[in-house]
Amino acid sequence: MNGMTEFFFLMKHELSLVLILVFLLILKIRTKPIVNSSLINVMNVVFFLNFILGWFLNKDGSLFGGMFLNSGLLAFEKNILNLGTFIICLQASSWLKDHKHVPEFYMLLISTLIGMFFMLSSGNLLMFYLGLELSTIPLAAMCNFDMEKANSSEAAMKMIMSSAFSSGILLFGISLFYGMTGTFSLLGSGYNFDGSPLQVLSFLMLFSGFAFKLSVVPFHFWTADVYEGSPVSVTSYLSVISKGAMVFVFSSVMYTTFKGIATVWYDAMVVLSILTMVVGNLFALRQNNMKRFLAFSSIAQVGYILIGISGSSESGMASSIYFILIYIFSNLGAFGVISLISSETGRESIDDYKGLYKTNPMLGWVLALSLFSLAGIPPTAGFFGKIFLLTAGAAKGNYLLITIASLNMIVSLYYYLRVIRAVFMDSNENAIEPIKSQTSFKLAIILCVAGILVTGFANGLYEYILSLSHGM
Amino acid sequence: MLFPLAVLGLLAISSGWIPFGEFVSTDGKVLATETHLDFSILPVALSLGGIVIAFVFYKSTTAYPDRIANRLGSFTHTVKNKFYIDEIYLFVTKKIVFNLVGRPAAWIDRNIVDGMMNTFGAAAQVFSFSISGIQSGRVQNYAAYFLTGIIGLALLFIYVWIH
Amino acid sequence: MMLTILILLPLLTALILAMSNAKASRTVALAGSGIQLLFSLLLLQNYLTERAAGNTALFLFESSSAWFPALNINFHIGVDGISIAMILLTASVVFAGVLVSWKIEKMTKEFFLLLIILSAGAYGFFISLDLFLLFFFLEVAVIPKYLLIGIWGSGKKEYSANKLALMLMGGSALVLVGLIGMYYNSGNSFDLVHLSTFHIPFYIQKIFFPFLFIGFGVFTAIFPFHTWVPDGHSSAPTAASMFLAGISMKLGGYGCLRVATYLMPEAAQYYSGYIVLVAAIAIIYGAFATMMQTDLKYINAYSSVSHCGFVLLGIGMLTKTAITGAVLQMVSHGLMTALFFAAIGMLYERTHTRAVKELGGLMKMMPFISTVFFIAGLCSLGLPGFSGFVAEMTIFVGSWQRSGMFYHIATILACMSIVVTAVYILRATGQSVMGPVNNPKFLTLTDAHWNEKLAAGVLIVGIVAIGVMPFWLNDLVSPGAEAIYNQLSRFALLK
Repeated sequence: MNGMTEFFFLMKHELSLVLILVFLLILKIRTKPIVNSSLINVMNVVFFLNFILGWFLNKDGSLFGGMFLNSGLLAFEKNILNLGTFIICLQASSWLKDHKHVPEFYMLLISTLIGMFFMLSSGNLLMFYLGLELSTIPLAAMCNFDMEKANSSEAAMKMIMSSAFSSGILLFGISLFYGMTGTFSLLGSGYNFDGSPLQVLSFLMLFSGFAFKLSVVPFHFWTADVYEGSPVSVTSYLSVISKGAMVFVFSSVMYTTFKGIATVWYDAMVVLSILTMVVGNLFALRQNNMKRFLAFSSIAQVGYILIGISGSSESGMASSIYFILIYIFSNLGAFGVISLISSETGRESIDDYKGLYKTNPMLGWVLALSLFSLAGIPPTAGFFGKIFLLTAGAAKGNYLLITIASLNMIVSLYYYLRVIRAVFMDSNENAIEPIKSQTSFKLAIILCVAGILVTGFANGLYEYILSLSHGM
Repeated sequence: MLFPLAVLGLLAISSGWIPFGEFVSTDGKVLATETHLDFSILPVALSLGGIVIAFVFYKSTTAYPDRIANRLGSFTHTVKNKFYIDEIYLFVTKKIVFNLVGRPAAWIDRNIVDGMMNTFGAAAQVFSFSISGIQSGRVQNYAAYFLTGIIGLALLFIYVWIH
Repeated sequence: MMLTILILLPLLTALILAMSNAKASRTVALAGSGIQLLFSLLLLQNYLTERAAGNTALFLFESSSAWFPALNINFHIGVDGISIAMILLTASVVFAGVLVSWKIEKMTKEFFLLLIILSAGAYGFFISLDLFLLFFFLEVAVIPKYLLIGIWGSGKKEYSANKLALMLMGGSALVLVGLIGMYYNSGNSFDLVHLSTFHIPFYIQKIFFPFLFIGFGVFTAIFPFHTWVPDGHSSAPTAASMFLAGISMKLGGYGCLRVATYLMPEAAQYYSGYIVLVAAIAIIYGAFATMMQTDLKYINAYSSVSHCGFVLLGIGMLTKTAITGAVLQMVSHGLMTALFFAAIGMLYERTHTRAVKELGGLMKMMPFISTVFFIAGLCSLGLPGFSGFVAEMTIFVGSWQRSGMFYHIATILACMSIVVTAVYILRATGQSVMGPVNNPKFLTLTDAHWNEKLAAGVLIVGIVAIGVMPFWLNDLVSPGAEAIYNQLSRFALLK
């Protein structure tokens, strides 16, 4: 019996999600038609309970011969992802209530989340690949959920094709890895890596699989088109949860498995982070569609995360997790406003947002606050996140990198200010009319704003994350 | 007019004899200087001579002053125009200082220094525009860039950055 | 405890402002900034009693609580004489700024809210003894400035707001690199007091001192990064111009002193030639460029570039008197330029023009405003009796004490700029205020109202107090300057 209880506790997060999935499947089988609004409310409560449940009774250990791991750090990461999903569901409520396929949406969402949890907990490359595919394919289907728009189908198709291509290269890398070490296990620190070409090639191919999901330049091309075409809630999920999960996996794999070739991947990170920041910022300057704009801005943010990860392991891990949490709040704040405006009026371009402050002052403030947090302006939490990332990244003494990153903050401030300017300063004859929002949306926005304002000053949070990352 | 001038003249003559150096000092000690009387011979003589000439020129009713003025000609002209000092001042300030120093300074500030900052901004815009074609919207291009990226990095790491 | 109240008061005012309506907001803001001014005076009083009682610690009222222990970041605050002087300056200028903006109609509540948040940032900056905290408060101010100029400004306000925000962000970016560099090279510490006793190796100092000095220098309009000043100050609304020119530019000077020079004295001496060169260029070039301006606000803005050049000159010369002079100039110029902008704002509100050619003979209709205008102008050109003379004199004497042909020449050139200052000030004030009335429509204009009189009064009291009795400010400030100078003699050899 001991094994069974251990099984339940170790896979607690995944099991609770599977239960919700089963519950939805049973609902689907019923013949009575489902009222959308009541289902949405029920699901919001369920997700909230799921988030709360994740904090209790977590145990460390491994299952299935080391293929599945759990630890305090992993449990915390999964809780962050749960919180993000909860906020996204709250924000999706207004868009979903008129949709024809609500249960399917939730089922696909939960499937991807399960996939991400398996990916996070994987101790073995096969399990990792399983989780990766489980998280990608339903996500591509979700991209198509704006059924009437051709944009949406285009986004889904591009997502599937790009993922397939990247998965192919990832599998090649995995097979080279097996050829090198004779095992699929990710835990081995006994691998004697000496930087031979085979190791470099295998590492790079595995790395490119990570980089694809992370939207690192030059693997980022799918990002803009997919973010633009998908419905806003799916875009926010992609930009925050998918990316966050990938950052967690990426940093732990880099620090544990590939510790031996640290010098190789350090150089790779420096080059790619500079490229990512610069290209992301340059492209964001030109955008007029809010979703595409946020897509490129999130590509630039990934550049900063790479700098943080490239530093020493303990503070790099802690600062990147801290940053992802703050990034969830900031990005979801911005996406929340965009999703509300998009579902009520269908307008998505920056020119449409001109004069927003006069008609919807609250929405204007929330959008402004989220963008300030993304730009790294105090007293929002984004400031702390960015500074900690840069401080962690400077541990190796590469001040040229830090200078380039700081100078990029100027460029990013410029394009965030473009939106602020449109909202606060420009006037518009047909500005967006005052929008009334539901309670679920208000709750989501309150959570995001609270997160943005408080997380920076809650020093206990960073200390807690750092204590979890010890021994990395 | 006469009375105030007389008072001032009297004070001018007499106040020089008051020993101010004993009353006003920065460090409490008496500020005493020496007087060299033989130094004063030339200035006093010149001043008295000037008073005498002025008396002769302007008190007399003959045409003597006008004859002297005509004889000296252009010198009189220069003195009449106050040695053209005012014109020199105006020339130096208006034509030289304002035009050759002030105007270029303002021009440099507006165009060169400001222009440098604006150029940074414009360069970012131009660069951004020039690479915008890479995001073409075609998935096959994306796959090509993906592969090129990996191959490029691999070549860099295997052949160039050897550890 | 006292110092935490200093930051909490404006935050509380901001909170109450956020909840009040437009009509009440200006009274709330006035009350808040007035109480803050009284509190600053109380702080000064307490500080002076502490010093008189024989407390010779470097920083008084220190308190430190852990914020992020893992990164050695603490909420460490404390004041010395220089900080108190700057706090007084901030309180006076903000109080005057609130008064001058009494008649703002558009989005009144947001205006005062942003102004109070700006002031909170400034107070926090001047009392921080932890570098992370310092940088935090430095950055807090950027966005309110952008919004104030962009929404309530005039002229090409969006362009000016953008230029200001981006260039100041550029300065902050350089400061950030310098701070991180110092963090890693001093045993992972952000604490100012600890860093001042720790000897950072000279080759490290040589790398990071330019980052810090140029970064903070952008805030003080170091040449050639000064171009945000003319457009930024001129397009801003009056209270924002007063704050920008009066306080925000002093953030940079304070940072240059307290962070760059105090913590890296060897590098400061190594680079002092460059600093003096750049400062001298700013003084002279700024003065000449001002001569050609025709818009009153542009005249004042460019003259701010020139006057803040004096601050950098004083810092660059690295003698005790020169550093004291730099601080005196910071306080004096802050009050003076705030007064000048206030007067220009009052004029503009009535005549709706800022071009000197179109104004004339205003003394007849608006004697109070014209006198205020003149006082500001005379203080700017260094007339004895006002604070400008005290500050400039101290800087010149201190600069001459630095031996070396190059420094002497720089001092001489800086002295000559006073003549140029006199030219443009007398032209601007004389032509606009005296002489015949150019525009007959001006004959019906009214003189200052109560709020404008009070605002001008507060600033003039400060200017005259420093001008006539400079010793109180000098005694307040010189121990701090002496501490900075002692760093130089401790770690470096200075002739």
